[in-house]
Amino acid sequence: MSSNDRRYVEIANLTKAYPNPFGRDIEVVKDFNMILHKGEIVSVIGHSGCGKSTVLTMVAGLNPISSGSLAVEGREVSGPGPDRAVVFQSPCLLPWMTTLENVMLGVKQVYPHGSKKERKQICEYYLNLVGLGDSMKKYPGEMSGGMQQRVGVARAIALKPQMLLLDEPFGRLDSLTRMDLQDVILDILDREKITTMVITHDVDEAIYMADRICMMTNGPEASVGQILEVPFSRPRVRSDVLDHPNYYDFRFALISFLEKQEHSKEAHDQMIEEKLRQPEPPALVEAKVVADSLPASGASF
Amino acid sequence: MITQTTDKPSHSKPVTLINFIEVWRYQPLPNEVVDDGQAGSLRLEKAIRIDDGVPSQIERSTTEIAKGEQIAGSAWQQESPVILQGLSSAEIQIAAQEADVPITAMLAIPIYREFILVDVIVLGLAQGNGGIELWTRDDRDELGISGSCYRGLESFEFISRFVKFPKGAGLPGYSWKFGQPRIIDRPQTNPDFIRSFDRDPAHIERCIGLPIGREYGFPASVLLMLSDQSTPFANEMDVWHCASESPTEEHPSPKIRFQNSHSEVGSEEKQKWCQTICDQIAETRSTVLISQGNELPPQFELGIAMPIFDGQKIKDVFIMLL
Repeated sequence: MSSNDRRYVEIANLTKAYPNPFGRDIEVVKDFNMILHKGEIVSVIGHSGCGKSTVLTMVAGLNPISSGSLAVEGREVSGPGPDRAVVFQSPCLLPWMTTLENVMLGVKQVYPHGSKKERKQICEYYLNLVGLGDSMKKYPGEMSGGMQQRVGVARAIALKPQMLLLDEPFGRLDSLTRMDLQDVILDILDREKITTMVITHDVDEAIYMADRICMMTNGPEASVGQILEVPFSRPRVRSDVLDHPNYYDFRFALISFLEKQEHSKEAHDQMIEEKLRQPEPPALVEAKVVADSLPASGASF
Repeated sequence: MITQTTDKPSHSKPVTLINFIEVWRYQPLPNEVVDDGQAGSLRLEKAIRIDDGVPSQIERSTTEIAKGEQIAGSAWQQESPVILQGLSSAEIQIAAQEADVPITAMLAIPIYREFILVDVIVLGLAQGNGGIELWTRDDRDELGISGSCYRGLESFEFISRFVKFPKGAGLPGYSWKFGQPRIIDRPQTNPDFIRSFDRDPAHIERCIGLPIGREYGFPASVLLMLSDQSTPFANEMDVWHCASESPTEEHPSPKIRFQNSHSEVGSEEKQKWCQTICDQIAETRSTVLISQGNELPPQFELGIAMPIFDGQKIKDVFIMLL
């Protein structure tokens, strides 16, 4: 297998800009470059508002890109698709449906030709996998936040996606539930070999879950600061990872990156503010006025 | 044989890490009609030792080498900088013996004009803190470390093995993307330098990224020099950027303007000297090594300036003053 065959997601110079009525467009993410191999788990870490979720939603096809290129399995992303499943921080389950029915919603779309029994088996299999075998008939209101998020994970994985996009999936959970669900997801990913992008704020979570950690610089104009390869083998056992003699070297590298970004935030914000204050290049109708105000030929300005 | 070229004292400047410099120049075959930069040889232009800040020219036992011979020939063969370290290296031992200075590591930097080798600069390094890193492109279009030498940077060395930079990211990614050398001062607090030195005894004060060679429209590799406060690579380092059209062999132009792209430009005399050296490089299109005290700005004993080409054009000049 050549190195290019292993490339599953190819992101090159990805930029997302939003219009700004007072000046230049605001480039939230600029020149973001990254390549994900098939079956790889990549954590994306960075300060709040840096554009991590913007990158994820662009990969999901939920947010159109402004420039650059974004290809999944060699095909340009033009919108959402069943090959890429997303789990958000809040699972947003339909409250009038049971756990099983919530998972069934997506499965019906992906397996339209399967029998009702087959579809039910798929849902049950994945709900069992996330530890909800006994709660299939429960309604969201009857479940804890952690259980609801498990449903969200089962709902995403039941679609048999080629790629899983996790947007701070454990952000609203207590630490014990969070660790439990991390293990559930890692167990599924080890079995199914799904290429995964996890957005997180948590450095320990990033190290524990990922093969590679993408550290993003501060936004606007956020980009990849550096990528850290995590050499711990899979399947991972939390205690082994934490006891690894180099665990704290990796942790320190992430924290010092985030600290440096924090310290530079003020200067970065000032630079961006000045940039945004610059007017747009004049439109054609204004060209004459601009030309009239130029200094004489040969002078610099 | 050692020939003293200056007797100026080194004053209060720190002793530099570089204590040995050679410039090898590519010589095409005498009757070669089309020079492909492969069949010639490397001829020694100049070899200098620096002892306690005082440079002296030395004579080496070998003055002409073929591709693959010695560290300079290896750099030519590999089309990449080569780093040698360890006192057990025969080449380091010979260089240290002939120069009569303690050398703990050697670095060979090839300079290319388009795809043709111009010079190979060999630097010998004394004992002291600092680091050299060679970053090359991998199968993900990211830069990873393919060669390195560190002193007093154990934690930094460990973590750097696992770090990758995409195009434009960090100092290596910048030099790779733009094909330009770049100097970053006080990297510990500068957000443009991403990694941290916090846990190491070395006090890295300045980092330099140098693009090397050309491959698929971008530099083939990026060389990083991490310069320590107490044992800097050189006392001053400058990058001069060609601000106007650089001449080609077919279209020589006398009007080339170089601008210092680094914030600390130094004294007016130094700036004038640098401009003169840039003009000289624009004319000769090769490395300049000066160890005559009266040809250097005050306070300096040695100057080396290397051109960085973009195709046939000189894009930047990297200057080190010791």
